[in-house]
Amino acid sequence: MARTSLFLNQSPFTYHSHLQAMDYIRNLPSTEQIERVFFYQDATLVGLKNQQPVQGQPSLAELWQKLASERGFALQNCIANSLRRGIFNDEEAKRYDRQANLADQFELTGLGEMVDAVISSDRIIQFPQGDSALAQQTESTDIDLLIHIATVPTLDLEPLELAMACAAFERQVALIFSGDGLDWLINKQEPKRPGGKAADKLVKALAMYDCDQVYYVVDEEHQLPNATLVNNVEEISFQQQCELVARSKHQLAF
Amino acid sequence: MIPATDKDGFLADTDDWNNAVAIDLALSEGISLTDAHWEVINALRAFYREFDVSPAMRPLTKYLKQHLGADKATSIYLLRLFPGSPAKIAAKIAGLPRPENCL
Repeated sequence: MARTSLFLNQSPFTYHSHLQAMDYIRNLPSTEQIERVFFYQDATLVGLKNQQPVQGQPSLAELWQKLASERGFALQNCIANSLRRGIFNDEEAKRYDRQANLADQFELTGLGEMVDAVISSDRIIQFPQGDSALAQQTESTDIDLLIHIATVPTLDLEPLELAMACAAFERQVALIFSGDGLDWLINKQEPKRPGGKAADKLVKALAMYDCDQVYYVVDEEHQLPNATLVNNVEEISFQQQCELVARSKHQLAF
Repeated sequence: MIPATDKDGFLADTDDWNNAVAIDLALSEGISLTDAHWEVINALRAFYREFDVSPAMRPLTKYLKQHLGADKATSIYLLRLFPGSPAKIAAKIAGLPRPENCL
């Protein structure tokens, strides 16, 4: 029996990816085990308790709750991402003097759950599904998780926090930056959030987590920014990128 | 005198930190700071300046190995100095932001 974890990171109010993920689960044979659905970044908003859609429409939280009961899987919200967005369970509400507003059946969990998914799930399926979902794996994979970043740094640099959590638990993590994601690599940049973290410092911190496979790819549409880059990254070709994909057990894209 | 902290004892405003505050924060954890403690505290603050993140145990020991030498970069050495949960307790005394739940 194949074990599957799902990973979502888009807002349920803006994109279709939550509904696509639900359809995927409904079409999965009942012999397939779903270990968890993990909500990250804006996908955590789906765990808000007081959603009030137009009369007669179910909320996204209700749809997830129903499916989770039918198929028996956990609805896991990344705890740090949830707190930043104002989503609290009873325990955290007490800690920070806030009101609890997490929907029933949802739980706040650490990234350790994603580390567990990387270790024990046969596959992690991200919604929306990228091109990489079609990639052919080689027989043996030496990279546990390949993270492809093709979007500009977010305020809280959450894509890299995921990489660091997996690396802290001694998983082999590789990263590829491309397209708009090349902005992460500009040396000595300012944090986007006032008092926040700078993207380049976090990229450099990867070395401290023994995460030494950090690459970037340029294409015709996306040339390198006209700036000095951090020094722990290496350029690879599109062909080399495909080879990395083939060597990776799991992949996530941002 | 310890400035305002959150419920777990982390400084509410990391700008409130100074050496005297560190001594008091340590005492509230039952630790009297020695030179060995200060080496780790200073290294932690340097780590934070360099990388903008309060390190977990593994990156902390790697950093200490580079800066203080291998004999001061073991888990056992850090556990003796900061019993319990060294990365977390040392971060608290060093006046760094609370390491986030995820990491």
